[in-house]
Amino acid sequence: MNLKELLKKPVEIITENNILDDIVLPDQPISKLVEMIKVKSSKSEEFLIVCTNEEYVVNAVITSKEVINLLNRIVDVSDLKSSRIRALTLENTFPPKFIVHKGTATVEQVLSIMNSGITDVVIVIDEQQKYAGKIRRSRLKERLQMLLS
Amino acid sequence: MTTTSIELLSRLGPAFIVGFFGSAAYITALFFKFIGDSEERRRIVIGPFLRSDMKKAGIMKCIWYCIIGGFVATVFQFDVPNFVAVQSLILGATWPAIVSQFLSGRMTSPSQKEVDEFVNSQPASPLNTDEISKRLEEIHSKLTTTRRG
Repeated sequence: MNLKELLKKPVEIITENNILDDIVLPDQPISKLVEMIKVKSSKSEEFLIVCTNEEYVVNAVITSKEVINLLNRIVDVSDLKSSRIRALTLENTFPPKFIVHKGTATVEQVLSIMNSGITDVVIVIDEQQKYAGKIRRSRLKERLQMLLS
Repeated sequence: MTTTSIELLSRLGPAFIVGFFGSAAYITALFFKFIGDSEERRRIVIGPFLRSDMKKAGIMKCIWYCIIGGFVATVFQFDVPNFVAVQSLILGATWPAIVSQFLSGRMTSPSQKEVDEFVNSQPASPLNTDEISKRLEEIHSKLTTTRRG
């Protein structure tokens, strides 16, 4: 595949679909979110936490770059043990961003966002605004090298 | 005026003002010589803000620059449901780079060289793991205390 062909390919070919690894729900306890941050930050520099409703419609997106802000908010919660993620009102502080649409976005669009240097992760949503996957910078590099070789 | 219009204005108005001051902050940093590593470089960067005699700052030029900064911040605020002050400030301060990058990203496809550069690029934001660990410890101790209580 040459570069021109690759850039016009749909975003699905570079998307990681393990969505359940990234999702938290508003009714889950905050401790679950803390555990997720702990595991993710120890594994990778480019991670994502997506707060959705039960239908996986995206309400909030927290990238690895913003995780300290999130932890600062969690520290301020008075009753951590019983509080739910809903109490953090993540949708106000971390609105959905760095989004591309599953049906229409191309590799070129993702490359353009990554090249702007503002994020290391791009999120993919479907036509119903449901979380459909993510594209990480390191993974995209690997995929590009592989697809262009 | 409808509720939607009021809600829209309550986001766009502050975005314009913060963007305006972001631009003003950039010009201030420029005049106080915080930007530019040499006198020669500083002279080039500050040039557009000076009057035609190149001796004093052109107030109208500075205001013009700030208004465009406010306008760019307002446009980026349109799709975001909540007012994001930091985003507006950064957009106001860096709008020439953002606009040129946006235009080049939309109008031309990345070349092979740009793709190669991307493949060799570093993460946009290295993770501050020490800070994260510190916050996680704080939260952990708070959770433990809550449990005992």
